[in-house]
Amino acid sequence: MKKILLCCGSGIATSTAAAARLKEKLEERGFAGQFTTTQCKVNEVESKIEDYDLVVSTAVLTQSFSKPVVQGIPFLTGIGLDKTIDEIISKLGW
Amino acid sequence: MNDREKILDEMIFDSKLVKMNLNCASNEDALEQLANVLLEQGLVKDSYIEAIKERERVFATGLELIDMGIALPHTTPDHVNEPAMAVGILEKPVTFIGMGEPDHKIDVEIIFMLAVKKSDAQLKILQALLKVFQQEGKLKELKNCKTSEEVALMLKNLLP
Repeated sequence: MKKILLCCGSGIATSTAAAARLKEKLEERGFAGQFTTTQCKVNEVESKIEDYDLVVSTAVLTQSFSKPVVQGIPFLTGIGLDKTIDEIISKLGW
Repeated sequence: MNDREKILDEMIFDSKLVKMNLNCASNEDALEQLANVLLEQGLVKDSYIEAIKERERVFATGLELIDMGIALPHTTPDHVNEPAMAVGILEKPVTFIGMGEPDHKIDVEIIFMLAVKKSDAQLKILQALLKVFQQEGKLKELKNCKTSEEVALMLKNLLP
């Protein structure tokens, strides 16, 4: 089971919108049931990251982390979304 | 949930909250002018204007969609009296910083300013706006409206 952490400014709106799109897209690619998504605020990433495999961010993350970080804006705009999904799949080692 | 309930029925939104040909010197000026529209209607508190500018500095809300750049400024519920949305169609684009992309300068042509009381309402309106305006041509249609009444009506028809 892969654990994906999504973050935005509030941990509520854009990260949740992105999470819904991400779920839909990963399920389309045949990964249903093989991942979980959780949302948080950007400033909570550091304390949570150890428990996750990958971070998708719609806000600016200034630090670098030990886990892969993927820029999540395509989940909001739809532009470049397939490429972003490819990137996530590859970074999760699927 | 009542499936006939439309998202804009849950918030205050009408042609009085649509500003056409908004002439702005900067993104802060645009935010101020549009926030003032909400303030004049008593929908937000005085503190909303500063709060929305501050939020934009910390978490920018510019997004480059397929038709054009938009911004989705918002802030926390404590500055809001009644859930509402104001829409500004800019006379000339102004530069906003891209959401999550500090190096991405976006020429914004339409601003959707949200004033929400509940986080789930914020999520719903955000998702609805993004879903509709990811479709090519929809923002252009909105921008081509001649009057604020037309904009309000089109949004009411477009949003689920």
